[in-house]
Amino acid sequence: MSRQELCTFHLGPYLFGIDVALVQEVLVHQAVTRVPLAPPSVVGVMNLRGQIVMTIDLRRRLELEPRPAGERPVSLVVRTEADLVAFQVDRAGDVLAVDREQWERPPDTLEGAAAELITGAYKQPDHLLLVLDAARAASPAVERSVSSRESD
Amino acid sequence: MSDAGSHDGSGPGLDGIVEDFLVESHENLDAADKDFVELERDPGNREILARIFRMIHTIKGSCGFLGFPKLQALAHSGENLLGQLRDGALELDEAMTTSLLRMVDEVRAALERIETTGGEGAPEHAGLIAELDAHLGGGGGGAPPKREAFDPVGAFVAGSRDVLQRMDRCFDDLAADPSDRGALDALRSALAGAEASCELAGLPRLGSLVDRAGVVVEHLAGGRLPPQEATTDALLDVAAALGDAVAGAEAEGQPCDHAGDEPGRTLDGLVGSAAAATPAAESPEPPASLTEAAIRRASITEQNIRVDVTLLDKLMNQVGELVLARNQMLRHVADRGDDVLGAITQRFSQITSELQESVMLTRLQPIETVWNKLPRMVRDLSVELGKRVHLEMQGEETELDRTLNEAIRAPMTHLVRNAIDHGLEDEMDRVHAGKSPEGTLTLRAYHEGGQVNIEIEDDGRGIDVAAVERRAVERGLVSAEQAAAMSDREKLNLIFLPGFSTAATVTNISGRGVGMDVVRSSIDRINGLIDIQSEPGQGTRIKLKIPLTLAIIPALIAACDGERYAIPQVNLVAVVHVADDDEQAETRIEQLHNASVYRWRGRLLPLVFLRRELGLAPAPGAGAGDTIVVLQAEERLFGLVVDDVLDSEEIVVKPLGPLLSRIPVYAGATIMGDGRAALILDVLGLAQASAVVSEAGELPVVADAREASEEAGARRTVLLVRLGEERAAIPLTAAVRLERFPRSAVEVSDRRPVVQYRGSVIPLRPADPAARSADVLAGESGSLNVVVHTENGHSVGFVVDELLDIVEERFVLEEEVGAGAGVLGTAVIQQKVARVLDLAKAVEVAR
Repeated sequence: MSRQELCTFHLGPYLFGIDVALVQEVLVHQAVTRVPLAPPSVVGVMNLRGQIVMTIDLRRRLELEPRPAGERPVSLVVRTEADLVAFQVDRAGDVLAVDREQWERPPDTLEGAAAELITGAYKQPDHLLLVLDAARAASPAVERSVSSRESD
Repeated sequence: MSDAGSHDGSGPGLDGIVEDFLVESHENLDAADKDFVELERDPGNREILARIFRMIHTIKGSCGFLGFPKLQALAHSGENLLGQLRDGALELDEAMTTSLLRMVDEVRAALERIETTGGEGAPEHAGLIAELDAHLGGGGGGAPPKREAFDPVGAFVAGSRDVLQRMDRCFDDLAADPSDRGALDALRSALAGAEASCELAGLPRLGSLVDRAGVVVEHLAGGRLPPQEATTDALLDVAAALGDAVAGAEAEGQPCDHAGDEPGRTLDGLVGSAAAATPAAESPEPPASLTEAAIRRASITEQNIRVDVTLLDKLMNQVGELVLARNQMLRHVADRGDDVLGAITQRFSQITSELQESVMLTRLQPIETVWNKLPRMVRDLSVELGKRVHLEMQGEETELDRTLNEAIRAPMTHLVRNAIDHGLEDEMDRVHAGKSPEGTLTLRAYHEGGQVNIEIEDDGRGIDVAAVERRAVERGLVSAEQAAAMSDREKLNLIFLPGFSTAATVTNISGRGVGMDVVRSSIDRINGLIDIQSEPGQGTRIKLKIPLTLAIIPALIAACDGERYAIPQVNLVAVVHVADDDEQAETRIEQLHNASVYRWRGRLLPLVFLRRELGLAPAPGAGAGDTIVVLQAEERLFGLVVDDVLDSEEIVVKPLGPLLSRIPVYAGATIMGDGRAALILDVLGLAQASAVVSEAGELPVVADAREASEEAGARRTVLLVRLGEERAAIPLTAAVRLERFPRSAVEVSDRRPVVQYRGSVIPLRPADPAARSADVLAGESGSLNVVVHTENGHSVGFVVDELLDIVEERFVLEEEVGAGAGVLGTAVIQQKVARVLDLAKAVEVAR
């Protein structure tokens, strides 16, 4: 019986989790510089103690509704194999220990980007905890307009 | 291996030893490559032979110690041959050099195998060993190579005996003449060999003693220590200690490492006196204390330490951070008006700058690290091609950032290869041309104005400019008209265009050009420049200009849609502010067809709008108060329209990460003084991105020459104009300038319209060959659009009714029978027929 610890966060009505070992820190407010021509879910880049870190709005990445105006996101800085990436989420939650045996396949109702990026779910007393594939979430497809430039 | 002390107590783990062995051996092999080439020019040079011998001996010894018997056997054969060469029993010839170089290659390959797999792998090197041994046989009397398994103690005994013999000889020589340089040098190399074998046999104390003796001999040879009895005695003591150890090893099978402290102290004292002695001091001062002497010795023998490159990279990053923090601090302190804090900050700022400088220096590497490989390559190539080549290197010590050193390695190799393959003639041809049979290839490196210049010069046949021109036109890279207007130097630089040549065709055309576009793009990538000059029959010189470092670059900070963008200054030509209410025609952004151009210094500058390129909303109140940054990408100039230019500062270049670095218009990111990130624009990427747009017909003028393809019809840039109801095309060459003159500037001289232009008076003619000069005066518009064409120093202004567009298109010119002078023919351009004018001809007619 193996246990896993997940760092949880909220996006709209949903509760998500990422392997806690991947999460480096949570940032409350950070100035982000826009990167034109980047995929739409990329908010921009920020300066994290001298390192340039790409910031992705997970709402946009998961094709959820835009964040209500006036609500400030927090950023989860996550280590992926390739790089550091910051995910903008609505609110950071607790670290939850989950039991491997409670793991379920992702709900069939998921569509689009969410279906690709959610690897599974854990049933919680009052919630379904969705497990995010951080590496895939961190690499949105580069848009066609950009890739056609690339082929030059 | 110089510090025997590190073997005391708990030595490094085996992995560490293997690693040291690999690093050291690789370095030694690189040096050996160079030595061999030098040796071939001077086969009797025993100093070089001794050096190579020691190198391979050390490798052999280490292999035995570390358990790589196959490599050891190979090194052993090489050592045997080298030993005979060194002792003069054999004379080095080309075949031997080739075998020995092959040995170096195989050793290198074996080391690489050890590095990747941890073991030396299957190869037995039998063929090469036989080859090496065959040279011994040919020399006559060569001892049959030994094949016994290597044991460090055996090697120590054999090596030390050899060393002791040589030491004896040296002492004899020194007794005759105490300041005999040759004898001292020989003694020093003998001691170095002895030190190595002590270490291998696990005799650190004896090794340290021998090492210290080496230092003393070095001082003697350098004249810093007077020859005196005490010195000779101390050295003889060392020889005796070595002899004792050998005797012990033979008697008991295990040498004892019981070198007494006495001789060591004496030696240290001698070294101390040498270091302390002023040139005037005759008698040695009293021996300094042991520690002091050790420190002095350390300062002589250990000026360098090995540092992991990733540590330097980290240090560089941290200094970058410090610079940014400093910038932030300066900004805040300036607002506070606190004098004391201001003074401290000033000092802090200065130290930061100095630190930044020093850290950058730690990353510098002499260009020698790249050039080291070249003598060997030149030698192999010249043997292969049957040419004689003398390689001359100047300024090997010139330093540049190690990443840049890495980046120039491939282009450098390519250029040298090209110079030998195509540039230099063979012996016969050279003699026929009245040159020395041996070709000279000169590499030069030197600092100039914060950059490093590297030159590759040969005294070969040079490049046939006419052939290059023909070739470029043939391949449709430039039009005949464009080529005709180029200087010889510009024509030569055509060989850097992609598609200029292929391997199959190059040799008989120009002698150059294979992969030159690749060379150019590698140099472009590091913000370098490349230029070529050639004198037929005399040779060719290629010059590279490389920045010192890539990590921190000067940049222009521009604003666009509320964000800041850094533009590397290496691409910057000028900054032009365009005021909205500017009445002067010369300073207006104009629309030609769909393209925006800007009249600047007598030429039409194609404009790239940063907002459009980045897919941002157009600026509110477009055209008002634009700022144009004039940039150069490869040879092309273009204007980048931004909202504003803010500042110019040194920025630290940071990578954008794997995803975003795929967007071609960004070169990276940086952090500004306020702590926010800003993107760095890639000027070449921008130019290319907008050229792609041009294929859709939006911005034709920046179209890249790379687009040239194999299709029929050359790609040409033409100016489309309106002449009455008709469209005409004027090939754009360097001879063409576009001007606009107010009608009031037109004067009449000799019943012809003229205008003052650049200090002289030029005639005006209608561009339409059918029209009369007087027609120029008949129009009613306020100003005249004039295409000024200069031919052989004569300029004529051709008046057109309207400038329509500049297009770069591939079209077929139909010659028109009876078209008359000044018309080349007709062509279909942009799906419509246009007459193509020949202004060069028209200038002649007008005269």
